Formats: sequence, structure tokens, C-alpha cells
Amino acid sequence: MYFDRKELTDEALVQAYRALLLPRMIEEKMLVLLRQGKISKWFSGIGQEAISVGATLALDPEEWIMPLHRNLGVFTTRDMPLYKLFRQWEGQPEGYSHGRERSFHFGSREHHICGMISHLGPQMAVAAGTALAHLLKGERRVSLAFCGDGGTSEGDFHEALNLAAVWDLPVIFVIENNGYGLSTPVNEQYRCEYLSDRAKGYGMEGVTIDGNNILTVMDTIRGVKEYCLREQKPYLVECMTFRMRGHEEASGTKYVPPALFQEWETKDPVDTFEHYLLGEGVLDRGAVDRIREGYKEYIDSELKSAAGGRYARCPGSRRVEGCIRTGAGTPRGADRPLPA
Amino acid sequence: MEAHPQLILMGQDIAEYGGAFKITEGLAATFGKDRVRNTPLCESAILGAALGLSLEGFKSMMEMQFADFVTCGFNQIVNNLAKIHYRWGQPADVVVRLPTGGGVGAGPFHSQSIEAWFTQVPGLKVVYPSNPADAKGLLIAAFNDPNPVLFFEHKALYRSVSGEVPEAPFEVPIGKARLVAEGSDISVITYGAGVHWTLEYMEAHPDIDIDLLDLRSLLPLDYEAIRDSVSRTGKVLVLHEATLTGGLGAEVAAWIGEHCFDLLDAPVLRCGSLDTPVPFRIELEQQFMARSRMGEAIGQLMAY
Repeated sequence: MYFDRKELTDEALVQAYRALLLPRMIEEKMLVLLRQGKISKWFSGIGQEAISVGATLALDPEEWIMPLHRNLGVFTTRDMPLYKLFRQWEGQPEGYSHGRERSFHFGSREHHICGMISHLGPQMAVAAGTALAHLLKGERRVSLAFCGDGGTSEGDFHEALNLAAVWDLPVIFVIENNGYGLSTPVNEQYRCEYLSDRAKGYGMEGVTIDGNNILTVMDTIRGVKEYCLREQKPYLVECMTFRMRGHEEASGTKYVPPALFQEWETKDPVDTFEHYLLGEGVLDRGAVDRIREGYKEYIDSELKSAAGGRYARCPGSRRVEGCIRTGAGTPRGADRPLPA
Repeated sequence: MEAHPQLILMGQDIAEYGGAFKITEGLAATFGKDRVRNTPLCESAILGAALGLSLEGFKSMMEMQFADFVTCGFNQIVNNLAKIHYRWGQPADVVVRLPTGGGVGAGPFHSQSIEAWFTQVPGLKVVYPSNPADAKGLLIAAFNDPNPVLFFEHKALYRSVSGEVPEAPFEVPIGKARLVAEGSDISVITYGAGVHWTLEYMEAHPDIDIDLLDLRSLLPLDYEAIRDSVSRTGKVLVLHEATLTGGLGAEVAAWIGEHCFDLLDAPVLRCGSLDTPVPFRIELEQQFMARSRMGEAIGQLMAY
């Protein structure tokens, strides 16, 4: 894999490496916890981290991102406290959704992350809405929505791209093309050569890039963001990658030809970038080991903190009513607590 | 629009054209096309964009050209807007206006009464005014409310019903029914066009003393007003234009059976439209409508 560092300093490269490695190591821990029965389900993004991490690094922290279920790297790169993420995944009352929602179906206003619902199309139009809000307020910000290869078949994909184009909204639509929607391969999902070709039909620009190369992703999204703000237009970015595990851990991978795993293993985003940094002399083996060791300790300690929540052992202690908002007006700024 | 500078209106043909029913006529000229926005034909995307606006502190109103077309935005309403506050505490500060109902020979896709699809969804509020003053008061209340509110407005009432409307802004509180007429023989609990059918019936049958309750708000329901009405008469007809099976009348009747059994002198009757699509030909539509059977139901109740 060819990495083009352009103007990036050694420090920026190491920052990207650290951001890329963290979700990988968290996921490896989650897979252990899953086997131990401590969490109930896991949708893995292993092998796809360069897209989440690269896109998030390319944006400002105040720019909205609408992630999906394999975008742990968005949450970690926005520096969300890991112990609270663990509480979320365990369904604890002190997680982001107070035990009301599973895995990545939540967001954080403070971090400008709007979580998904299970339907894989609706969030794209929500990104068009936040982009419209910035436009009306005269703020120069893009919004970014993720979508999978499967999600591009939903009507919501068409509606959102067309709306963003017609209303001249600076939205970056990122397709993570990982080859499969559950067990459905892309040749049963669509017929165009590149999904980015569809951009033309909406009157916008599109590009297909190597989604496993973090520097390519960062550089592309940075350039696309500048374009979107300069031209006040949306943009479609298709990132080619591969889902290295099952749809979720229980569903297996029997339907994936083993040769595909072998091929994509050589393109692993973490391994290839690490190899590049070692080769360039940006990091040496000792430094890599120290980063990994530091993360291991960090993850273990955050996991311990998560277990120490006040309500960790009594999830029935809070009521579940409260689907209606009381009081008038719309809050801005910090997250409001959920009603007790 | 003046009271809420952050309020954005969106819908098909609502700007210069003023909307299919001219409800937003003149607003684009006054408030500009940034705030009064024509949309492509994409109900789902507009509702999603409304949620995005809400995340950034805006309010919005989306006009469905016809309530029937809400099906194309159903998922955004019931799963995204209705649940986001419960899921992670965010507002869905959105009003959806839905021109609804039949009686005008418009056929299966421009006539439906579909409010019960939404009264079963926790997280939504559903209102349905029957007269101009309530329309104003409930619309203002809907804009002041931070929850997603579905505002049903009956197309046949746009031109057939008129009434005094106070000039100054005022709220009709969501969740409060209106006692239209106090009576002692039977209660008719209804909303929308049903209110006017009942008023006509009362005029033609001055011998029957009807207690007429206009629910106005379908979610939440005003259970206190329902109980009060039952206690005055002991006989209840729940009437609506929507088709009978699984309609809102079923919920109201079940609640009365559960909570007011000791007040009843007769079974709670429901009268709804036939369980078919809304037919086009006017004679067929008249047969379809609950209105054609309400007299029979009232007679049945009076016999107890």
C-alpha cells in the first residue's frame, strides 16, 4: 500500500496511528468480553477503521457526524470517555442512553455525533438538516453521514442526496463499501461499476478511494470538505474496504470465500500503516510496543471504571417512562439529562 | 413565524404557490424562501432534515401535501422523531401538518383518515381540530411544544366551516377536549368532521339531549373529560371518520369499559367508516362514511 504523507509532520502521522489503533484494540477487547458473555452482541468494524478515523480527523470537532454501527473510530477519535462507552454497550443506567438503547444507537450533542437508528438510510437526511442549519446561521461547517453498500439501495439514500444537491447543502456522504450487507454480496446489491458514479445523476461530484489507507481517507475528506464549503455543494465519497468479520459475531462468515479474507488481510489498515511508519523511521518497534501497552492499560482501567458506576449492579433502579419532552424550547449546548 | 424566528416551514409547493390548500400563502413573500422552503417530492428526507434542524436549535413545520402521503415518511416519524428523546435525550421539535379526510370524492389516496397509525406511537403528540379557533390555538400550542406533533386538518372543513378566531395569539392546550354541548341522554365522543355530523344530527333531532365531546387532542387523550361525559349520560357513542377496526374509537371504548364500567347503562358503541379503502364515486363514499350509520347507532343506544 502506498502512503503519501504530503505535508504531514511526524507528529501528525503518529497521532493518526494512535487514533487508528485505539478502536482496533478496543474491539479486540470487546470480542473477548463477548466470548465471556459480558456483552450480548457486537458489530465489528475491524478492517474498516481507517474510514471512521480518517474522516473524523479531517473534520472540526463541531461538525456533525452521523455514524453507523461499525464506526467506533468516530466515537474514539472524538475523545468520548471510554468508560462511558463501555457503560453504554453493557446497557448500564449511566451509559449514554441510560440502558434504553443498544450498542451504537445513541449520540452525544457535546461531541456532535448523532447516532443511528437500525434502518440504514434515515440518518443521511438528518445530516442534510444539520447542514441546512449551519447554512441558515451563516456558519461554515460541513456535516458527514456514513452509509454502507447495502444502505445505498434504500430510498433514503436517493432522497437525501437529491435534497442536499437541490438545496446546495455542504454534506459529505461517505459510503463504506465493505463487500457485504449481512450475507448479501455487492453483486446482489447494485449493478453500477462504482457507487460513486451515482453522484453525477444527482448533479454532484463523487470519488472512489482506498478506504483502508488512512492517509488517503484523511486527505480526501479534507479536500472534499474544502470543496463543499467553497462551492456550497454536497459530495459523495465511496471508500473501498472489507468486512473482516461477520455481520455480527453470531452470524458467522461461511458465505464469504476465504480467498477474499486472505486478500484483504494483506491490506489491513492498521498493519499496513504501522509497517509504513516503521519503514519511514517515524516510529520504531519499541515506540509501537509502548503505545500498544499504554492502550492495553487504558482499556483495562476504563473497563474497571465502567463497572464502578453507581447503578452498575441495579439496572432496574431507574424508571423507563419519559418519551415526552417537558418544558418549552429547544436546548442548546450541553446534553440534557434524560428524565428520571 | 414572528414568535419563533427559528421556525422553518418545508413542504411541496408551499412557497410562492402557497401550498395545495393555500395555507402558507403569502408567507414566503413575508418571511423569505430561506424560512419557507419548497421541497422536492421526498417526504422522508424532509422529515429527516427537520430532525437535523432540531439538533441545531431550529423548529420546523413540514406540510404533507395530503395526509395520505405521510406513508412515504412514516419511518422518520415513528422511529427517528418519536424516539430520539427517549433514546438519547434530543429534541425533535417538529410539527407535521396533514390535510386529511374525505367526503369530497377524491378517492383512496386523497381521502384517508389515518390518525390511528400514529396514536399508537409513544413519543408523538397528535391533534385534530374541528373549527377555526381550535385550529389556531392548537397550531400555536404545537409550535410551542418541543415534541413532534402531528396536526391533522380536515380538508372538507377548510371551506365548509367558519367561526370567530381571536386576533391575538393564544394556545389551546394539547391534551384538553372541548365540551361542545352538555346533554343527559347520550354522549357522542368524536373529533374532526364527526363534531359537525353530530351538530347537524342534533339540529335535526332536538328531542335527543346529546352530550357532545370534541376530543381535539388524540394523543394524549383527555380521560377526565371522557369520564365526565360518561357520568352525565351513561350511554356512549364513539364516532369517527376513520375506518372502524383498530381505530381510535376502539381505544376510547376500551378505556371507558375498563375505567367507567360502573357509570354505564349500555354497551359503549363505536361508529366508524367501513373497513374498506375510501371509494371515489360520491354515492359509494357516502355509504363508506360513518356519517351514514351514526343515526342508527344513536337509535340503538337510545333503546337501552
